[in-house]
Amino acid sequence: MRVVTLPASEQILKSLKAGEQILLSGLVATARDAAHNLMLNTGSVPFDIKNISIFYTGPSPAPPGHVIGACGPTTSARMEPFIPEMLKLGMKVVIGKGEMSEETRALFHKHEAVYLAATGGAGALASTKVKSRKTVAWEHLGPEAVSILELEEFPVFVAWDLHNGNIFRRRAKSYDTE
Amino acid sequence: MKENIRLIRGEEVSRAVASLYAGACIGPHSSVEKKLLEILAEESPGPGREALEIEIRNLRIAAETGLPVCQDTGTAVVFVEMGNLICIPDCSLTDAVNGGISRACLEAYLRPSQVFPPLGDRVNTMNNTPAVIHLEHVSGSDLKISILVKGAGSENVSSSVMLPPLAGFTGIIDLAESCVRAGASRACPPVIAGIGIGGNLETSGILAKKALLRDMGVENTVPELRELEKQITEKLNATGIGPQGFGGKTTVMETRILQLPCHMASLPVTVCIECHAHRTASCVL
Repeated sequence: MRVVTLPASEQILKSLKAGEQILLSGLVATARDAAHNLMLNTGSVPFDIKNISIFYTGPSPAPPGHVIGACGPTTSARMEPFIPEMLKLGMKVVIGKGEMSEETRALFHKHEAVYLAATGGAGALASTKVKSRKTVAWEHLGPEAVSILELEEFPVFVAWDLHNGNIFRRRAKSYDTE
Repeated sequence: MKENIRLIRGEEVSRAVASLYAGACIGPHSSVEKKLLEILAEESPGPGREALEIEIRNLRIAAETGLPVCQDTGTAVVFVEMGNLICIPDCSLTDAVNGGISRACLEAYLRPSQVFPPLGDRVNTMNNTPAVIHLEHVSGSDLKISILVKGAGSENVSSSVMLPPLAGFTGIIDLAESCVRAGASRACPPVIAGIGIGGNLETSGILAKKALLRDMGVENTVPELRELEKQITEKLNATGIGPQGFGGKTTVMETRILQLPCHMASLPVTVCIECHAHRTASCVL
């Protein structure tokens, strides 16, 4: 399994194939509903969105001796209203879980952005792949604060690649055509 | 008569609830792990199978590290069967249960996810209370407490509907199918479909949640419902949505149905989708 380090070059992003499992290293910023709402309302994104990917997660509190608590992905579809603006700002890689709409998929394609799906519910495993964490905004939001995480070989799946590949279409043919 | 009354202090109830809640969030989850391993053995190579392997590895890591299986440590849904001879003299059952949830949230490092008010500021209550408590008053001197840790990913794709009274078996199958087809990939599959049929608007939802508490691998005692569960599971698995929505043979691990009488002009139904981690625990005091 190959390791992909963020921020990834255009060439690396192009080489990703939907359905492929990769090990993700490098920096991501945590953000979910409340943080997205604030980013768009205040017009300020508290990290370098062109180079730092967004990970949709709201971690549980870190027990003593741990960098972070459980931190699996949350449902990407809830962030869809914010995605058009984030793509315009230069977002290239998103990590979340679950299918999103065809409209959003077309936007990802237009902006040459990649959607990576982590394993929903696998929060304890994700926690062991986080090497450091620094909260950079809206600490009062608790689990919804924005933190920069350094990942080391975090297993994720390429959900939408740059060639129209879609992991969520690997289902029974009769349902595909409906 | 007086000597038959059994006194249980609120603190004892709180302690039991805290232990159940933390235990359900962290594990070990041996029956879920066993079921996922069975599903894995049937699954063909591909990302669905690989995601299933990660789900299983995660359950083990949680039990080893004491971290919650999932960061969404849910809404705590607490079912209490309280014997008529039980008396909690020093506080209400509600306070005792919420005291236990709050304690586990702080001491076991569980995520507080409850916000209030639901519209507007949505400020986190910071201790994951209030729990949702369903009390059933029964005869006897036992106090049975069961907890279902319900994450929002799966709750958000669940559905309560008032079907036409004669919608019948087909109506139930179609509703379960529409929930799963529309939302299963967001509910961390393979899921469990809990279905409550009958009662009224509010009881069908409670029934569906209660149905989820049935032990893994145990069959429905009502033959018609057993057959319906089998049909629904087969139909939903034919979608091929698979683990995490990445494609595969198993989208639904089990379907579990409970029923109640209902008004002749109604057929209330709730399909409650439950994620693969299925975090439950129970005890009898």
